[in-house]
Amino acid sequence: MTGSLSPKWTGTAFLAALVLFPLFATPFWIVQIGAQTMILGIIALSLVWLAGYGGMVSMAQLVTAGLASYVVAYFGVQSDPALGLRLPWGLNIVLAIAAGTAFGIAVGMIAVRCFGIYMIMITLAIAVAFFYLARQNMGFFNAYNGFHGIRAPALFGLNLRDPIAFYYLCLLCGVTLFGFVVAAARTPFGLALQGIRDNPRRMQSLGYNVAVHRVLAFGIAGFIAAIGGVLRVWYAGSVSPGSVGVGSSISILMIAILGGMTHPIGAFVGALLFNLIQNFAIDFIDRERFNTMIGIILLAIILFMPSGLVGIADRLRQDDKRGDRPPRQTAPNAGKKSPNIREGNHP
Amino acid sequence: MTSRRVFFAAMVAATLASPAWSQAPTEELRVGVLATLEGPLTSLGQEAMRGVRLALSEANNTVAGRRVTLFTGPTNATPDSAINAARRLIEQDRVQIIIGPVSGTEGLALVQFAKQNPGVTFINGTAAAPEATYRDPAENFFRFNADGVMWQAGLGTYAFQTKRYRRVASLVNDYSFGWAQMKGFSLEFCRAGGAIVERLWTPLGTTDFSSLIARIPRNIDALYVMLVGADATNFITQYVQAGAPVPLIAGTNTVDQTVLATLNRPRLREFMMGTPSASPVVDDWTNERYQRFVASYRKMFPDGLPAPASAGLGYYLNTQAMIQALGAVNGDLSGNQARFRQALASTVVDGPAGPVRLDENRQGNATIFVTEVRAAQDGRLFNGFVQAFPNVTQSMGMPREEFARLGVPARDTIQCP
Amino acid sequence: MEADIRFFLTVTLNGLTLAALYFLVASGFTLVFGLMRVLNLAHGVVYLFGAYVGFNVMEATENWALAIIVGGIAGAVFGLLVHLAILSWMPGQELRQTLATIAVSVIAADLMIAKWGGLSYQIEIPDILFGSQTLPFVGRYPIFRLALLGFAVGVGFLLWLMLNRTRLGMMIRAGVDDRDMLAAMGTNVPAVFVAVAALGAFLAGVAGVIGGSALAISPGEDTRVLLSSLVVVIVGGLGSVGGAAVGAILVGLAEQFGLAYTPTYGVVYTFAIMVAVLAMRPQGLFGAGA
Repeated sequence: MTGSLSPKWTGTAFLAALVLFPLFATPFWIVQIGAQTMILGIIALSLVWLAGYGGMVSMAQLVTAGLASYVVAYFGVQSDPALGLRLPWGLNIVLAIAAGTAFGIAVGMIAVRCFGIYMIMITLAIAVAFFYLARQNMGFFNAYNGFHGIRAPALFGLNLRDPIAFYYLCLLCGVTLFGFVVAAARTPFGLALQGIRDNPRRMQSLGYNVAVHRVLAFGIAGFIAAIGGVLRVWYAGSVSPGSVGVGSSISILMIAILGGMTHPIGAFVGALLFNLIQNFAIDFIDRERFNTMIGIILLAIILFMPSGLVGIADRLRQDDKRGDRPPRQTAPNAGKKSPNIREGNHP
Repeated sequence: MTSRRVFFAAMVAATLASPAWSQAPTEELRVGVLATLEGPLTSLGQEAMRGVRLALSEANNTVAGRRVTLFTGPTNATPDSAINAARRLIEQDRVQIIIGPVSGTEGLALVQFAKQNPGVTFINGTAAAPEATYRDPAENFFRFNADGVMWQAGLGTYAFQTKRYRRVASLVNDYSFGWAQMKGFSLEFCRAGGAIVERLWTPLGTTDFSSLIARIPRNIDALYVMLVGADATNFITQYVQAGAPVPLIAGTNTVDQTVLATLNRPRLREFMMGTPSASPVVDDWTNERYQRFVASYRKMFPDGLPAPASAGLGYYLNTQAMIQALGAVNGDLSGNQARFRQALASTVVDGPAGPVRLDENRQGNATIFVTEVRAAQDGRLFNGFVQAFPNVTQSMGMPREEFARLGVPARDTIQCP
Repeated sequence: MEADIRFFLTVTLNGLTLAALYFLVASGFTLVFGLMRVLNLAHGVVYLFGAYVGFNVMEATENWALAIIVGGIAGAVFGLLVHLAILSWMPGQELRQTLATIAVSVIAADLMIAKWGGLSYQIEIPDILFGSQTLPFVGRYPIFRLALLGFAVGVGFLLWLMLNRTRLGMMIRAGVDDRDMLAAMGTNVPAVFVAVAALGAFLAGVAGVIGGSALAISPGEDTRVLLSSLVVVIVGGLGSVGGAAVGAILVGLAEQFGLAYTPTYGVVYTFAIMVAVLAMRPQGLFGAGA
């Protein structure tokens, strides 16, 4: 965070609150709310990075994370003795992150020529195909059953299964990746990516290789999502086709919309709100109607605050126009193919 | 803006008022129930809740003088949602016992979760994946209902000996429950001397079966079909439209009430009449204890199913086991629930279809019925009683080692030829 | 050998008849997209809504034709509501409209579970359409599937007539090519949009009743139908009715051949086709430049 003192102080206070939070909270709040918010936030962050800076809304981020989860399970310790390779711990994590990054690049190469809603569609198709593949394939995905009994490692006397340790691990990953995205956006690569988002033709004629930039952005998103996937499988202890279904992919999109895609913090704000609704809606309404409630909230946000909760904060504090925040698109309708999620900000 | 503020205020208020922050009164028993209340298995979850409420109301919601407070943990049939709900039940609602879940994959995940939460006792609902109590079981996971293999006990023998079917083909939903049912059927059918000449597997959610129907061999006596929900309705309709060359042998869920009730057309009903199946529930058994169970179900849930389904029976049985064992130890859950678990392990549950006791892996035996589809006076189809097999064990009456050699259910378990 | 050929022909016919159903669903979807550039992801729930309403009408009146019409009207009303209450407030913001329709589907799908429960239903078809007919080379074949083929051809023909021979059709075609020019010529573009939104949703509702007669209706069917129509129209080219027909045939055949010859992975093929087409030709086989 840069600029005037106020956001800096807000950020510091916020971070301090996150660090001190486990001292006051119950295990439920630490793990189910705290750690899970960070995990969902990291996966959504990979989408916000792609959509906010690259103008590419990818529905394949959850399955990218899912692939990393499967790799952790297949090459690590889980409960099915007939399947998988029990590599020494650590190796499966490296493989998982490599697989997620490679998958991200592959998705990027397939989708590189698509813009706007075509990008949504092709990545949605990839996500659905991945789900069916996972459900049908025995050899690697263990079909419908998936893998269970996966646990975070204990190392150097630090048991990552312990709620507080696991929370700090998730927090560390979340904060680091957040900082990574903010920093990446200011590199020449990040600036070029934002240029491509706003006007691919001009960037092309300026000599930038649009396709390579877009594919690399997908690779970075795959890397981020893969870390989320590793944490997610440790959190849930299992991974199965149910973890990579279309509904979950849409949830990640919802999180990004709720929080807003104008700034990376939106991913975490959205994840927190989504997670709170998911866990506490049951106390207000019949759980059976949970989806109606989340749908209405989502619709309200799309209708009344198109840049999500972060957009509200922006509107309240209009003094920052610095580089860590992608500039708002000013043209209300940048043509039919506009890939930008924030097109036409105000009704 | 205002509504958003109200929402957050309500959220904060709820957080502060939630039970985690207040000490639970010691007299009440806090019991969590996992049930699929959203997604494709919603109707099973609703039926499961009926089973729990029926068993509790028979005990006046009181065990050993302590009131039972129920907490619902809704899931959407995925393991992730089951774990999330269980975590919330334990950490937020402070339950001491969890009953559930509904689906097999949720069950597999929950067994592993149980190992990480030794302070809570898990009693299954109706999850029927055999591995949950077979391979690497958890000390604190108990299952009084039968698994998916056991549900087919008697069917293969009945098809071979009474129906005189010698050559069959199979069409089965390609997932763990389908594999388990197929194993249960082929175990007996192959042993009796029958041949399964072609095995067709179809993904869950297949709607158009026409090309699979075209693949069914001509020279067979019957087709073993194990499809669930809308898949079954679609198949039966399309099969009859295509001329229905051979009769069916049905897996448990293929002829349950959720499917039979959708078959309105007289031609479909006529075709389904006499179709044999096997199941832990039956609609017209005259046994007095069972009739009492059916009658109280109908009385308590006038808008429920016409007769209890396997999900209702499973949750009923497991809740009943909890009530009986808690009564035996006078509600004592101290010492990491050691006495309670001991009582559970030795409880003989007075189940509607006969006494149920656990084996060394904490898996119950069961009474399984061979049934056939019949029509009531009003034309409604139901599963009529043919034969009861009491005391079906998890190894289907075989020595455990010999049964273990058959392997866990998969697409190619037990072949003949 | 002869059995193999017969099997091959049967599967081909199955693929074509399934394609007929897909075309019925996808035609409205592609029409709406072609004119308004709105990817209406609520199309699946409109289909399901039409099917449920058709089921209730059939139960009450036993009149199948009436069920189809009322199902279509129910779909049209639903579609109009979504268009007027939500989409027309954000004209030209395609991405935001698409996201809004996702939210609408989440709500509508959940409310339909509340109303019709988790059970599956099937709409009864008239007796003359039930049963099978002997065909040369193929043998016995269900009559209803042949009727589906007829329906799809009929609807396709009517759509062609409407687009090519009526004033509304002319306006729609002009709008597909250049919206701004159409407005400049003095046409009331929002009114044309309303008409097309209603027509597209009407087609979805009709498809729901026909689809609910061919296959069972159950929760989750909305997503399945939506995904297959997405694949169909994207493979064919968004906005092109002819492309939808070609896409439907491709997807129908892929699905049936996949199921018949490699049931385990058959379900993956459709999506693989879509990924392949989009990667090579982002605008689809028949789409005008994206």
